[in-house]
Amino acid sequence: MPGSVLLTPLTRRSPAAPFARRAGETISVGRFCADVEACAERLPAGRHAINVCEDRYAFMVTFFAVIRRGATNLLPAQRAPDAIADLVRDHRDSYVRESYVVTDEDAAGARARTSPCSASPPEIAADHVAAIAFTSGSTGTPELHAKTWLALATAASMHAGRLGADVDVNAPRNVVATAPPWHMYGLEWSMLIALGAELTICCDPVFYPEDIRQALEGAPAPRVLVSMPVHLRALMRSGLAMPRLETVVSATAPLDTALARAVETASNGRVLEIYGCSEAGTLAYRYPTRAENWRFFDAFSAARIGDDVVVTADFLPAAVTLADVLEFVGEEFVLHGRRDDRVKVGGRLVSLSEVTERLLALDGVDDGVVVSPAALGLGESDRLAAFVVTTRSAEEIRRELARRVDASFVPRPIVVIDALPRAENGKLPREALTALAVDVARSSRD
Amino acid sequence: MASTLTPDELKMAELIVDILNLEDVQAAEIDPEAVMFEDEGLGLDSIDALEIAVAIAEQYGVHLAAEDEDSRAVFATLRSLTSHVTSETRPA
Repeated sequence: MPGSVLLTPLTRRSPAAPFARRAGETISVGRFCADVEACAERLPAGRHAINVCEDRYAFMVTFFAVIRRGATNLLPAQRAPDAIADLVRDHRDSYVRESYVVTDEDAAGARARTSPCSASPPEIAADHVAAIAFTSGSTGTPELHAKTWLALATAASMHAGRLGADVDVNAPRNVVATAPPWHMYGLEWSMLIALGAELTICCDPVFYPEDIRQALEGAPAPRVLVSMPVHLRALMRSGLAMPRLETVVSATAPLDTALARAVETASNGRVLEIYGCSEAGTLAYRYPTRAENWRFFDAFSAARIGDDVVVTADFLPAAVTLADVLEFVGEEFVLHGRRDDRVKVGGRLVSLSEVTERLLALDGVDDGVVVSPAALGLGESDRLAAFVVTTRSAEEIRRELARRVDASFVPRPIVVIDALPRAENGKLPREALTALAVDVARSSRD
Repeated sequence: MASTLTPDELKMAELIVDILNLEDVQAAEIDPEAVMFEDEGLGLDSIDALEIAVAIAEQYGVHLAAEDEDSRAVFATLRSLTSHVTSETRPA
């Protein structure tokens, strides 16, 4: 007997409530549910769907349609074509969903009714695996993190509560997000969060500072911006005026306190910073301009076991060991850096050993290593760099690697050298790599 | 085979090389009609696009938006980007 059936939190909202806004049109909860039904009818059979919709609304509709069909959304760590092909090959019975364009035709059946659409939100079992998130593992092969519907729905209401969004039904909050919905942060904070709370998601493409400004102008107050340090930095540098914001949420990379202050001044709002990992989802929060320390969300318990910090929650299938160094101060904690070979580039996690493996697998590459100069203490850019022993050109290596990893993770520069400074045991000591990186930097300046 | 750069295109190429610290690329040698992004040409990604957009706003006063006639087409090549920015800065 499967676990208890959990009704979608959407049933708490009126079918007429505004769920999303797209190209000037407001899409109600009821219309969204009708679109989900229509999309579900069109999906091919298959246990796993790789949702590569670029359009935010299409992504959201497809995500729920997949669940409605009793299938699971696969969320790849990377969207490069070969990475997707690998995923399809490794998951029997899976398929790739290119894009789903919501047309009047698709929702014709529901729209024919004159009253607000009354399609009911789908019932989803608590233990249904709604999504599987893939992250770069430390051994080079991806790690899989299964997300039950219980986990996603519980997280959604915790997050909405932090925004105060479940409180005032008469003032639905409008969310504009730069974070893509296909990674855990954007999935939780720009999509799932609207399930049981009065939030309306802006689905227009938002990327450049001008887009952010336009989308925020077009959304009625109160406004919530869900973004990342790289986008917030660009927004501040643009000097564009913003309307008043209630909250600016930031995650995926540490947010510099000076930047947080600048954002609060420019928006008249407060900055809420989020910390989490793909395995557990959002774990903790802080208001960076008020205090340095973080607090775990109520659902989590944390314990120190040796050097590790291990987190548990009712909805997590297993305890999660954090990859960062945490220093507890009573109920709160100070966050220090990462512990292993996984680094963040542009707010996204990548395993250095995984990219190194892909480099070494290329034809004509005799030896090589991918490093993070920032992690070695050299410079501020979080771009990766690579040293390769090969008779091919750096340019050829770069092109081939670009087919196998996302553009952001392709090392820049790729430096061809005679030999790597390996120690007797074959390892590449950090000091030797740092010296190599410094030498290369120095010679390129001459 | 690569067409030559107009003065505006050279200026834009220099901006890109400078902002992105493309060490092994000579601005004057960029093919203005080569695709700049993903696994083509310069291999730029979306974060680069953002940095370039901010620099263009600072230098040219033109604010790029994702809805500008399909921003992928605008950003496709150095030529298309320069042409878009130049037309946006022309006095009305």
